[in-house]
Amino acid sequence: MLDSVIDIAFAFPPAIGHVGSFARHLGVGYLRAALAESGIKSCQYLNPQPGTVSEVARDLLALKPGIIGFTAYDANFPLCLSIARSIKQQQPSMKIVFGGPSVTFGAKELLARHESIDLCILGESEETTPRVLGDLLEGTFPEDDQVGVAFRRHGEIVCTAGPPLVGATAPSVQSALDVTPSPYLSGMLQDGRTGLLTGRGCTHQCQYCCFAALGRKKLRLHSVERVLAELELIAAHQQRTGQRYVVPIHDDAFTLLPARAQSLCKTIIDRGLKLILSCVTRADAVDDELLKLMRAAGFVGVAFGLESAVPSVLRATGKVRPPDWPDHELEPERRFLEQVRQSVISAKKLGFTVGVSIILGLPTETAADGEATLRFIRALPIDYYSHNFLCLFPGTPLWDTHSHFDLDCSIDEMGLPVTTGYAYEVTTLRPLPKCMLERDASLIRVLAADAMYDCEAPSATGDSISTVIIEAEELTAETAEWLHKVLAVGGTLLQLYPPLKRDQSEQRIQRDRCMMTEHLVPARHYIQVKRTPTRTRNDRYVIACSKTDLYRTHKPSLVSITSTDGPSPMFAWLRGVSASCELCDVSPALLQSTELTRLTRCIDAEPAPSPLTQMPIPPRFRYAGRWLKEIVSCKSLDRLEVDSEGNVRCCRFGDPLGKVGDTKEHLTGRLSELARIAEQRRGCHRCTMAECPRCPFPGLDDRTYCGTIMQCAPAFRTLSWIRMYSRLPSMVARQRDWTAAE
Amino acid sequence: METKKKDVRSWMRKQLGRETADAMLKKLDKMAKKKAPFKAIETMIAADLSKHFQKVRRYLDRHMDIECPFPGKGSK
Repeated sequence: MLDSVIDIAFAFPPAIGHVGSFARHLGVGYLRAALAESGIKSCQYLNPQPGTVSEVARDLLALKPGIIGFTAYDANFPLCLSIARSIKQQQPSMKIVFGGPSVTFGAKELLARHESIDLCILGESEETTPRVLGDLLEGTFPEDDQVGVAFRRHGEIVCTAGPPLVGATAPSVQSALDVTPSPYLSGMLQDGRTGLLTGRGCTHQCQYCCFAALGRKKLRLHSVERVLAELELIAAHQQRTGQRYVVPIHDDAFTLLPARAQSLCKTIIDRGLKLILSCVTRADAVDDELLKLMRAAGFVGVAFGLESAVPSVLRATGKVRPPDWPDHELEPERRFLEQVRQSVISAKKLGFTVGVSIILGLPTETAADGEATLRFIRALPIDYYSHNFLCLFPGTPLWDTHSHFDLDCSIDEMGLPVTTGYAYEVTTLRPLPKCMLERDASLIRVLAADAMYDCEAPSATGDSISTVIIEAEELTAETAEWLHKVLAVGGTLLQLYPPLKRDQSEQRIQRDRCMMTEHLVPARHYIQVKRTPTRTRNDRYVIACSKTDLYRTHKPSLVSITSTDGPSPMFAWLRGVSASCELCDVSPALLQSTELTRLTRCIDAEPAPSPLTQMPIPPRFRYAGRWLKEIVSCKSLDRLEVDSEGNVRCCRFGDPLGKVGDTKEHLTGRLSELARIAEQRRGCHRCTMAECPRCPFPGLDDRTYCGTIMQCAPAFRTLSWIRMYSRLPSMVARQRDWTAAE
Repeated sequence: METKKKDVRSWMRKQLGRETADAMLKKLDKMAKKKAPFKAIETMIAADLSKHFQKVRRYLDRHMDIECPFPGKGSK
């Protein structure tokens, strides 16, 4: 403790599928505020562009903390574990503490499997953590009377009773939570994008809900004054930085007490706080008057939990009334469905962005019930809906009773719960057009196209290997182990399979996914791409990614890419026709440049680039970095390709830089050497051709490459414009994704 | 040059709204006339898109993120 600059460093690693940034966390904000009151110094590790797992571990150790704490959810647990292991390798004496929902209900399973976790802190821990961490900093593990912890003692796992709920003993629910210091008022948080809580807990009996289990169905609130003080700070932050952003209110159901929500909204309006807010709530806890007030207070988005549109399923789920409620007519559930309909219509009329969530596979639900829920959703004027499948969590009533409903679940090798079976095949139900998964599918399609064919794989990971393409029939243990070491946190891993028989390919896909998880590869997305034969000369690639697997059956166009070796889609597009292929290769056109020059001159003659805006989105160019300047072409290790023999290249046209297993430093050294040799051989230092990108690996002999660059220079500016327009969908999807992750 | 119904402009308008799309394309035209480097233009587009999505972040609500272990909730 004495040598430490800070006592505890918190890390909140990104979840699988999320942008690879280490961001602030509201729960940690609360905890840090409580620790500060006890004199324990803490910090939150933030990094928008982390490097590899071992680099993140090194960064955390460089903070010289006495303890490193991880906020673990099921979705980010593999990455938490991976970093914890790396920390233990670099500094075995470092104490690692895990907190969050995953360990609250699964501490025993996780401690039994993972030696790198020293201690787990359970549940709401503002009251228990200062003492536990204070002792741990002095080198002492908790005593048996300490509640809310789990740890190993003499090889045995000790898991003490759950901690008390914050504010549970307060005389008034309305200000019960004020006993815990505010993350904003204590200065731990400033940026309101992290969101805020006006209350914790929910009084409803939803059998599947992990929040209900965490909050033990007890509602506790912050006083209106405290919430306003926090909102005022956030408003001041927005004014100071000139940034206007949405402040999400993370309550389980913001309007659970409608009168209190009204009073909060009225005060926000009276104080003139010009904030943009969003929340999740129950459709039966709002009415027109409250929605109007919320809109006037600055709420722009509201999401309602529907879960099912079948009254009997709602009853079995406990969404409206507990499953053992004596009324068998299901009148409350029917009323609830009507309230959902009315609330969505009202919210939409008032200008809210409205979302609804459903869960398929709920207790007693049949396929026909699932379809009825989707029909109900289709008729609502929503902006989006979330198409979920039931996940069973330890600690929830459903975890204990699932077998009565033909639901299967187990604990996987990592120690996390996994739902393995439903009463009917939930994936057979076709998602509707406003499903949020569509947005994910289009992003993954963009990431796949960028990874496969864009020289400049736009990087979200800084100076690291952010994209690796493996062209092999299977992901070997050796490759997975190497990827764990070299791929940046949040990077993209794409595997390109040769044509395979259908039954074979499904097995391979599942097997390779297991291999990736087993080796804790820190990829944001593992995109598996199968080349499928077509009748034309075009290639069609089908994308398999766990997040969007549904669309492989239900909407294949959303998960496929078409590409061709020739320039014909570009020529077609230059004539004003929509491209038949999304990706094409312009090299053959450049080698025979007459038609290209003629066509691009048509565009050059106009005041560029106005005519381009009146044309369809152009096809993407494959490996445009060979021809166009200003694209970072193969001059960094941002993107790597691995062939079936384990050779590593930075471009498929280049010489191998090394083999799987080589270090990043070795590959970087070899790349610089090959680039220098290519420039020397071509005499680039004597060349005055300003438009040349000097690609080290153009896939052509030097004479042809240099000659083509000279001959086609007049067309390059137009081609650069076309490329830029072709990248607009990719840029839009990526920026939207980045902003959502902030 | 034949004008298509689903052209870049209308695609941009659909994605970003008329106001933002037109402003961006106008700015792009200006930069083109000045023969600005493509890297600078791309950076400008990225910055404008980022600003736009910050403004309309209500369309990107995190509350409904499926990756979170809690059904229908975003991680806090």
